[in-house]
Amino acid sequence: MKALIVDDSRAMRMILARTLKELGFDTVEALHGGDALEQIAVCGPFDLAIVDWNMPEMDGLEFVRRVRGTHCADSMRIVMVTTESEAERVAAALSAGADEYVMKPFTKDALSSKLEIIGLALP
Amino acid sequence: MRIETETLEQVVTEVLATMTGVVAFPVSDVRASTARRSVAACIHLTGAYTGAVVITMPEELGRRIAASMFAADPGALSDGEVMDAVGEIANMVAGSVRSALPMPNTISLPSVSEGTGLRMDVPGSVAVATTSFVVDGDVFDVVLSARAGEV
Amino acid sequence: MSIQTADFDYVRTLLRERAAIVLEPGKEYLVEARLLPVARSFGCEGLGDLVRRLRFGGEAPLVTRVVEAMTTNETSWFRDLHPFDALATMVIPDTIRVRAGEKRLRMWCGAASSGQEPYTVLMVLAEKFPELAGWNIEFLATDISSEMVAKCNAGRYSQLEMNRGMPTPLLLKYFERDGLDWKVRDELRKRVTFRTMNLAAPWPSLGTLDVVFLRNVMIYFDVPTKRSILAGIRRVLRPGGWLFLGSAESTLGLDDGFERVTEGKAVVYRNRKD
Repeated sequence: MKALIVDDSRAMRMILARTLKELGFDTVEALHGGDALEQIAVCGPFDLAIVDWNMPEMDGLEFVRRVRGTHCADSMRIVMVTTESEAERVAAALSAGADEYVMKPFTKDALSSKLEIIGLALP
Repeated sequence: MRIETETLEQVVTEVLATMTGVVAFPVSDVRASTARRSVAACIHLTGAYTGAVVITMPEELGRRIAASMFAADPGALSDGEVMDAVGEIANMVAGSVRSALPMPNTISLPSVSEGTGLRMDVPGSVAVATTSFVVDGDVFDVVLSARAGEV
Repeated sequence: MSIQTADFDYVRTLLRERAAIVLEPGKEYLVEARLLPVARSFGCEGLGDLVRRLRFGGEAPLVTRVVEAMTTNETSWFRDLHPFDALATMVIPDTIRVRAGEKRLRMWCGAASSGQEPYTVLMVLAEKFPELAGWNIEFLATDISSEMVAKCNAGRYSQLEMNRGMPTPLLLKYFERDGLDWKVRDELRKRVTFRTMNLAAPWPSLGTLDVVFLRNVMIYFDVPTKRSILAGIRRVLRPGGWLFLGSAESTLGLDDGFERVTEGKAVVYRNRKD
């Protein structure tokens, strides 16, 4: 399965890539929402996108809205992984079309449990 | 605005332990020395609470923390990678600590600088909580400040 | 810091005698991880010092804390997922049929730990069975550790704990932000009663139960204790009532009074009717 990692921090992309590889995913990285849309156009389709919220150029929420609004990757599951943890923001991400939400800091267990919830766990 | 120093200590130790496996112990009688080459990262908070979170640490410690995030040899990392890692730690600390502050507020992207004799100031703000931590003999500081008049 | 063999053996014996818990050799790391914080909080210099005080002092609070620290385990919301599917598709619908007359449902969770399991059960009930609204539902959740019971009652969980297995829509519906933590909403919290209970000691009266959750705790007990616990469950579980065990646990070879029922990817045990 293929995962797209969208985060402006290179260190965070490394941690996410390592974790997802351990969970059996091939990963591609994007630096912000706009970059991620291009990656989808070029390398898509992805099974999963892991998306940060606060990023330059295009933030994670806008990215989720664009993906869901333009139907450019309808089957792609989206998990927000972000420091935003206010209930209103979490709700906004879900209503924009995110499938699950992980609050930073997170453990590998937490991420894999959320993937299991959305049916993306590998045997 | 009151925030317990303990809250800040809890957030910082939790972020480091979870994301890097680095164990940091809060200390009360020492502060980070900026005579050595240091890295400082700042995140601004704006909204019902306006202020900033600033982390200052010896570059060598930042490099070790970055090494565990990148799963790489400390010596193999570029300065940019070290600054990126410390900026992301500051982002997670600010992101966690603000849920104990008046909401709603938004957080900025990190600003990070590196150098000797480094001093990061947020003009018009005063420190509301200052904590220091020791990791294998290296000390780093985390300061939460608020816009003057908000305290 | 690593634990001395003699000290490890002492802790093993203590756990066996006080809580009927079997700790295999090779679990030294677990003893170190769990007991170092206890040693520190009692002002001991290390594990050696802690065991010395256990041996010669025999202080009751210290012994209690050691047993508690060794019996709490890592847990998550919807742990293993499948048992909660079976709860929703088979166990609760069956119980509703059987109890339709008196509209009464009685459940017991015997290893509540930090509360994630009982609260998960309540969320499943609230989400999937609106028809239970007018029912008299009694839900008792017990744990050997008074510290854990206090945590269950408080219903406060850190962000790290909330991340583990909690579906986000349910987080938003049943929890509210409380500083750095999240807190179970009262509407859910008031539907369960938490109490301390030692499974290896004589049991208090539990009445007649429809569903029992005893997941991931039997593994800690020796065979005679496992047998006596399962016999105890059969006495309080109505004929045809349901028992959930952990995925590494079974009644096989211990008690033939239970029927093994497979539902989806989960196994549930049913008290035989004869």
